[in-house]
Amino acid sequence: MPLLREAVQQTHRTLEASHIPDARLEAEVMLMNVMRLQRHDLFSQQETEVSPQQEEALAHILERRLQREPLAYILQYKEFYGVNLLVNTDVLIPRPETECMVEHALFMALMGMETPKLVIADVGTGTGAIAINLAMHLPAARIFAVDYADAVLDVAAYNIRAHNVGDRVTLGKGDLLEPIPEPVDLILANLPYVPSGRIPDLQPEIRWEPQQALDGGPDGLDLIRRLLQQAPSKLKEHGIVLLELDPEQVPAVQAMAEEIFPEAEMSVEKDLAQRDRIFVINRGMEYC
Amino acid sequence: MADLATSQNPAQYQKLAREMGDLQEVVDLASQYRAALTQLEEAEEIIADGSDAELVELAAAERDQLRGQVAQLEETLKVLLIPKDPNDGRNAIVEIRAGTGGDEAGLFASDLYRMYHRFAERKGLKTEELSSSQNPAGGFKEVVFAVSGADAFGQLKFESGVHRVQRVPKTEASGRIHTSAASVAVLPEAKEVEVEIAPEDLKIEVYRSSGPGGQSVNTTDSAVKITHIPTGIIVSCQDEKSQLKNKNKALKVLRARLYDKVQAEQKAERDAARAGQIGSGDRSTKIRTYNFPQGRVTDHRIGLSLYRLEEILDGDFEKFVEQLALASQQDALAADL
Repeated sequence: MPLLREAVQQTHRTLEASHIPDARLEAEVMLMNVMRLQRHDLFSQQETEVSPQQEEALAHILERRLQREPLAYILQYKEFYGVNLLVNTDVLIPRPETECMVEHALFMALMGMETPKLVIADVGTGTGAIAINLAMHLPAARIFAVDYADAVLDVAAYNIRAHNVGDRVTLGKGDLLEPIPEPVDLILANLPYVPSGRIPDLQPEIRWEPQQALDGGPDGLDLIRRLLQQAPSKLKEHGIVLLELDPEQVPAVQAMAEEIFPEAEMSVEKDLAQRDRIFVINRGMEYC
Repeated sequence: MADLATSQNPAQYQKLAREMGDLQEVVDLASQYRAALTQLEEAEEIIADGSDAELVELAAAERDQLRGQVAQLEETLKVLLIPKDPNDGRNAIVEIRAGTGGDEAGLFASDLYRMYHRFAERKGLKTEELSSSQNPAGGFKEVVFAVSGADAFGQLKFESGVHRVQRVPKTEASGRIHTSAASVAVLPEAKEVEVEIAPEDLKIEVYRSSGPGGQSVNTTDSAVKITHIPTGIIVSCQDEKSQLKNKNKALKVLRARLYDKVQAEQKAERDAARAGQIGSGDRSTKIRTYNFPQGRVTDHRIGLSLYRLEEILDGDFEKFVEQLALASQQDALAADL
């Protein structure tokens, strides 16, 4: 029976040979998963033997991974902003950049808004990543999380229940802002924003993800465009809109936003890779 | 503490209350000491007077007992009067680095990691890995982890220094004994308010794809690397979890290293005359040897050898901590004389 450290090494080599990115990290995560270990056990338990059942489980995971199925789908969870979320092929796997959306939303909510009893809309909620994290950090907020399909909402529902925020997060099904029953203080939207033409050239893992969760049309802005058109009637007088997008989309989105919200203040926030990632439309809320 | 301003500041009140508790202990013992001394004097007087034989006998017995009491109280008071290391109560950040010796040193570094992990378990402390860099052969070049809980730093602070191992490496076919080493640095965790880090002093780097990032990338890696520009200190944290979590972990390590740097500079100024003391902080000093063939672990600072290698590597090294703490106290007393 191989030892844990040998198994990690072997798995690492196999992944690397197939040019799978983050080979070493993924090898560790796979072994942590089959042996039910925490990260710190990886080193303190290096000499532990991997049982035949664990080897078999590992082989299955590896087989799927070598088909470029994303590791998150194989293990069925992804951690986001400190919270574990169930993921399956009906939802997009949350990206690290979206953590900045949550941070920024929290910053604005806590710094500026007069009442902590905010009403928030999370459009295109997917796994519920944004809605759940906001609910956890803003106990007095009411959050509407919407998406277009039952399959997606099922995943969001599971995660909402799992993290006990069902009393403050209400799910809605429909097209963008249509299911939102009342004007809100804050609209957050991580809508599909990849231009259709780019998708075939992306890494193989992306082929396993739901294409409708990525494809934003020819310029990637189809859904953002329609959201902005729906927004005025669903946003309070001093409300804020946060949109996740790609850097090159900023000028086009700015032009659209200025037409629809001529009186609002616009700004762009960067992600940790120093790229423009969040477009902010501020309809007059003051915050320091 | 009766001051109105203090009563409105809970943190300050707590701090003062703790101080008072500590001082109260000293004051009580000091009263006991003085009382014992007075009684001793009285007993001596009776004996010197010598008129009543029975009384003298009683006094003599009392005197012997009182002398013992006085000596004991003196010792305890001396120890209590040594200024406590204010860092003892803090959480600790532990850094283990493999020294020379290639793969074998890396494996020894992971043995030490296991030792501290097991020690933490035994003591009800919690460990959290912050950053690591592995050796392909197993073991690693470096690992940084946090230990939190009651007096985490106080219990681990004596581990700073170079640990040396003598054994036949797993990779060695001929059966020859090799010597390799790993260095350990134990830092007190620093609070955000204690270490000012200006955002513009930081260069934060994450995995950067060639395209626009965001939805176009699907990666397991959420590594964050922070460079503190003024000092050149670099911290990187990599795992499969939240990128922002990794950023916070890296900042935690950075704060601890900056705090440590400042403290070391201050200490160097203070300790110019106290070189060679236990815990004098020279991290390149060889402090312990783990000899496998003899099953022996020797701490060179106090010259203590324990023939319990297996148990020690399983985290049972309380004896060393005890003796080192004692020696450290004695040094402090000696310096004050």
